[in-house]
Amino acid sequence: MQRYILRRLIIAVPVMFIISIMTFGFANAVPGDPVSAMADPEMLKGAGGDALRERLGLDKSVPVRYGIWLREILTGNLGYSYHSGEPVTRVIGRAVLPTVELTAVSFVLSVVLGTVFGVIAALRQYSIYDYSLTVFSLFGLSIPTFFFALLALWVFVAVFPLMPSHGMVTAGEPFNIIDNLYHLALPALVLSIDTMATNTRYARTAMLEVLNSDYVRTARAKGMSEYNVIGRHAFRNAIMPLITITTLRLPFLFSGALLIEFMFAWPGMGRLSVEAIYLRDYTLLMGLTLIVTGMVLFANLLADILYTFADPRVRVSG
Amino acid sequence: MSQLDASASAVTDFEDLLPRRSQRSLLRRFSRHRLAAVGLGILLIFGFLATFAPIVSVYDPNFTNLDILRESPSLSHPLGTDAAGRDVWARMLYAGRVSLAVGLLAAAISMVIGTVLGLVSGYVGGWVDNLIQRFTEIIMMFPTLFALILLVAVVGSSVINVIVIIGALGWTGKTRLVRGQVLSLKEMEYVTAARAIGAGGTHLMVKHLLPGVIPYVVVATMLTISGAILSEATLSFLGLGVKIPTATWGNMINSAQSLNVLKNEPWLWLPPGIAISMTVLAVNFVGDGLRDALDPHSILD
Repeated sequence: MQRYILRRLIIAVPVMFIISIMTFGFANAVPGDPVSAMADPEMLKGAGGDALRERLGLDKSVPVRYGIWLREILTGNLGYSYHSGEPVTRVIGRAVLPTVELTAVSFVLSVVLGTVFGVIAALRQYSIYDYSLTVFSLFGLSIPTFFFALLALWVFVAVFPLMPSHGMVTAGEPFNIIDNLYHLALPALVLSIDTMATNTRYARTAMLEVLNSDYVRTARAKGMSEYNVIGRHAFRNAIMPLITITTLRLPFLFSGALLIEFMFAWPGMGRLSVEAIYLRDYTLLMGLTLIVTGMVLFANLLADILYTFADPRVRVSG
Repeated sequence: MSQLDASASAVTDFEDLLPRRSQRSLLRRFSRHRLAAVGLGILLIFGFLATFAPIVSVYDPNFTNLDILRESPSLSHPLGTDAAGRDVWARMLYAGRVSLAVGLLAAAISMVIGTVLGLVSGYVGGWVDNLIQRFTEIIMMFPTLFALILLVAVVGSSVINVIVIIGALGWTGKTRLVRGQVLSLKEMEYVTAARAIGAGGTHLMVKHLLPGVIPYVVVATMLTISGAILSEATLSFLGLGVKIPTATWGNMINSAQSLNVLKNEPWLWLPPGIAISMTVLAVNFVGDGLRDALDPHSILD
């Protein structure tokens, strides 16, 4: 297993490298200069401006500019936003926690509820519960997320003004965890729907598979209580493929909430991305690209490692 | 996970994890066929309406009439009018053309790229396989929606650009699928026999491996189509896809971003949203039915 992890880590470096080249290529292709955006615009205007420009090598060739850009990135300078002049690291830093809060809660919701629904559907196969849960999961997969968000907003905000429609907290008031959760409820729910639908389908299939198997029949024949049969044997084995799929979803913790954040004005990285596009703030966009892909890479690695713990067969085959 | 990515993983990942089912209930297969038939029916109706839009719609979708702004549904305008006095029903039909066309064409591009790369990757193996797989991984590293809007922001948004971009980002899952199939088909005896009588690489790939892969490709195509339709809808909704006055179902919903429209003028955004949902649902039904028909031992319910 060590070799497997080591191999994945080693591959990650050139991958990140290539991504950085692609990002720099983008930044070069759009209006504005990626290298000059690395310097604080205030300082560029001031007395030391010319010396700074010299240091940044604005008139050098593209590979050299890439090198300078890379050097700045690796020392933690992601540039300065075109729109606000703030360092990109600070802008993104503010947005990470809200995104993680939203995606983590919706992740847990989708896994827990999806599994529960799928198991119920399997246990009560062909009943009204099974039928309605299957239909629900099909709809959850097919309805566009933004349309579902609109429907949710329509019902819970426009028609029955029950829930807040935007933001993380009520404006102007000090931070209050209850208020935060109140604002979190609707976006997290909407975000979790399509993953929940997929989980329901998979959980149902896995559970059905297990319930029809020999060892469950044996356990029942032995006279075990139904609770034990399902809870101890069936469920444990049905959960295996679900764990795989769940670990595959981990990378989306950082990247999956773009649309929802935008629609509910949730101040996370997703909304930041959309705003940056609208404002054509390319420096911020490049910084976001690097950070998000880096996080996805990291989450992929983590998911792979967790998976080797969950399924010992992978460990042995290396 | 984003809806846009659900396509390939539904077909690939899960199938490797569960043992094959040996018997199916007759009832379930019959009901599945009914769902697929319903799906096909819906798609045919939508296709018909979209193709014959000029005949079915009474008004011109781009004809603005500022006297009848934002009218609710009435006898003369069955779905009301929008913010510029255009007939919503007419826009729905023409938008259907664009949305469906973009979905189909983008999916076609994805499938071609994915199948070719998967065939080559699986058959040739070695460093070519490695290179293609790493390349695929890197593309998959970019979050789908994020990459879509980034590319559209760079190259500009027109119908062609949107089709090409969605197509160019959607092939990653299909490559893995095709490659997996090719790897298992490669060992079959008819391939060895063909090679023994001197068949070359391209001939083997096209004449022998490709037909074996086709069932999976067909099923994956259906899922790709639904993903492409959703991608276009999302992009247009954000204002980054096809731009008005060209109507697509996605950009018709764009106006619902204002709370006023959301609350008071539901005829503007409910019909296109329902249309997209029904189309994707229908495509999913048909895809499920096809998977059942082509691979009766498939375990995915």
